[in-house]
Amino acid sequence: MRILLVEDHKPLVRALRQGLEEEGFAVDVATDGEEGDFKARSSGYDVIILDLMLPKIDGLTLLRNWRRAGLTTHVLVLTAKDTTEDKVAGLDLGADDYLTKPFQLEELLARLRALIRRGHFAKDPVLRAFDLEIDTVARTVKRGGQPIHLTPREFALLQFLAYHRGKVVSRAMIWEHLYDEYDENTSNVVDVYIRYLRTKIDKGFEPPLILTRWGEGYLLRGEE
Amino acid sequence: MKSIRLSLIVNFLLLLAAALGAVSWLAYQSSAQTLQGKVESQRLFLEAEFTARCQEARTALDRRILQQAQTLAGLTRSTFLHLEGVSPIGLLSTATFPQGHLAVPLWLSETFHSPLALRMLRLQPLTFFIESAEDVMPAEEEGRPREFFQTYRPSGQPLQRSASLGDSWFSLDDKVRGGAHLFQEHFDTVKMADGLTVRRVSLKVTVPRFRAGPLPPWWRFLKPSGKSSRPPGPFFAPPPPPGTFFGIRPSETEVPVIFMQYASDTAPLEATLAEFQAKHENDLHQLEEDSARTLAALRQRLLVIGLATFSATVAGGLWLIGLGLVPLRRLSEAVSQVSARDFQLPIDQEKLPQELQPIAHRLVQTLQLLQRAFNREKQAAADISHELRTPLAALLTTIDLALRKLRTPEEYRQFFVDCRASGQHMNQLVERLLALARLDAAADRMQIQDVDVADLANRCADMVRPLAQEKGLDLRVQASRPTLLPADPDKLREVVNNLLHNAIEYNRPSGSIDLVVQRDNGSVRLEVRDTGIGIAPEDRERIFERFFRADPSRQAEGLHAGLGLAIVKGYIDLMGGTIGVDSSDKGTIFVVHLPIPEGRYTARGYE
Repeated sequence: MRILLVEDHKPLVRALRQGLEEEGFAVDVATDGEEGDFKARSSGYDVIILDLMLPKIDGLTLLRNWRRAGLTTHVLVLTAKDTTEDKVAGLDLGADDYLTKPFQLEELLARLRALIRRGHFAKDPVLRAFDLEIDTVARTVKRGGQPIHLTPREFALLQFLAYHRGKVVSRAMIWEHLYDEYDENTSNVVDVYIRYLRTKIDKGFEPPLILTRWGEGYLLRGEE
Repeated sequence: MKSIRLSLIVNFLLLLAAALGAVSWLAYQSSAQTLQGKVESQRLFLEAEFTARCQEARTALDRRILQQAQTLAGLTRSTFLHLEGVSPIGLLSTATFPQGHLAVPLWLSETFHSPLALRMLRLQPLTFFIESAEDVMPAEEEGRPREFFQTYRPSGQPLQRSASLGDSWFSLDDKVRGGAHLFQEHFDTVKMADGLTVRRVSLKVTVPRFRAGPLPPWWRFLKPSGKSSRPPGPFFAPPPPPGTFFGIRPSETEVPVIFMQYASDTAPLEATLAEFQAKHENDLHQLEEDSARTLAALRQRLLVIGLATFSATVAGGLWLIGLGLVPLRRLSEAVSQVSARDFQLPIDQEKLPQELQPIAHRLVQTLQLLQRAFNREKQAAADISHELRTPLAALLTTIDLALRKLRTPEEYRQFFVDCRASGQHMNQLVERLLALARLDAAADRMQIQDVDVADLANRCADMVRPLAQEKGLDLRVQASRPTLLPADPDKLREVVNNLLHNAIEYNRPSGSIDLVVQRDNGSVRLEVRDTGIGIAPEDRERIFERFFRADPSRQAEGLHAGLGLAIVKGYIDLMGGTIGVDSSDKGTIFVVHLPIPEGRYTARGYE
């Protein structure tokens, strides 16, 4: 899952980035409104974390413009403005969630997860496919009751496939959603991680869940 | 508490009462006067009427007695008292004509005018009497005689009296008898012996001569010359015309006259007069009463009208005043409806009356000012909260992160470093806020020392030089000569630092900063000049406001939060100085003047 963090306070950016990355998110950062606008429109993010007091263009203006332009990315507003009027203003302009500073890191992470689930119309935090169980909160995987250990990257990839279960995701999509701007794009990386995943998830289990569609991409097996 | 409505009403009522009172009084007075005039004329009329009536009654009485007297006079006969025997002439004459014994002597006496002749003729004086006089007299009333008469010879001797006189006599005043008014009646009022008051008329009566019958024609030849013919006529000839007697100039002895006095009891007249008087008095009294009643009725009516008018006007006035005060009430309602939410005055200014429009206009203006101030405060509060919360979020997130899982000591160390930085940031902010709070509460105390401003400036410049260099800015200081000033060094330092930081922050890349300290006519002049993008004219006034940032969305490194210049101004004001700013797109220059108190440092031979 790829996140755009639009915040100008550097110490907070540092801490948040580390926290998010440790949760397996790929994080892009913008430190003023202009940069944020540019990045939001040019890349696909799962969630945009948006501070309101920004240099150059303020957060609410950005939000309004994005929604008017038809940008459907989830936006979580993260700000010190905490009055009801501010919350209402933010939500009514098109924010999907509103969190005030100071906040607990855990709460932020949980809300992000919820937003992602919402985006995929998944209500259960535990994604299931056949005998595969993916606990998006605990970040654990079980197949046939047996826990499987995945690296954060692997988990992110599996989770992505699971959210798009039954639908083909292209390599480009996978790339966009799992890797931040600083990572080098080598399409090979995706194949490599698919192979890692297959080894851990499908080996020794039936049926195979990670499927390949030649020329298109990969998918997690859906219900038949 | 004063109330417009109440004072209006009270004053209005007083005015109304006064006006009504005055009007009523005037009306009453004029009506009373008119009434008085009418009464007066009525009274005069009554008086006149009374007088006339009395007069009439008197006149009637007089007329009546006169009439009676004349009637009696008409009845008077002349006759001789008696004949002393028959005279020979008489006898002779009788032979010639009827009653010659009387007629001849009579004629003779007339002709010869001599008493002697009369005596010779053995005639007794002529006398007169009224036959059947008592028939003329009215009957007694209640046993008391009412009317009286008495006749007199020309000499004044009483002749005949009426029976009603009884034992009393009238008298004939000589003046009347001998007066010029020979043939005019004379009236008087007399009190009789028994106390009766009578109205009496005295008149001279010419009595028709006793005549023996028509004279034979041959008497004509015996007439003395100069006589006019006697009118032949009946026994009772009408009285001759006054002043003459058959052509002879009359004298007393020639003209058979008597005096007649006729009197009537005035009691009835008095009674009538009394009646009239009583009636008159009654009428007057009635008049008075009527007039009094009319006045009373007038008073009452005026009172009623006055009260009614008063009440009606009060009611109407109350209503009208209420109506007039409605706009005020609407305005005050509108004011009470102004909420802190929208600062709008919910009233249509066009519909307000002229007098209230300026107030409403001012109110709206004030509300707008308030709103702006309010928004500024809100914004300031939001700014503070944001300024504090952001580093706080950084701090807490860093700590959350550190505690999420087991980390290496190196990682923990780094986390601590980050926490400290956030803490320091917050600390600085808190310090600034406190400085402002102290300035507000005037709780600031100046620790005055002799400060060398030039030296202080240099030190500050040295401290920020690294920062300036980091940004590629050239920092130049022009403060070489010692410049002493009694001031609070910490605050002065704060001022200089702030200005320098601003110059660094809002500068262009590869720009420059000039810091100048000079002595300038009794004050110390401090200048900080930068080559930044400048400050717009409309912002120049506001940059010293709290939390004001020329670019609202701009958030510097979070250090200043727009408070720096507010603090600077606050301190400079406290030091009694001034700060001014001038700016163009080439750069900005802040100029601070700090006055040197009189009489200091001259002893040190200071430049």
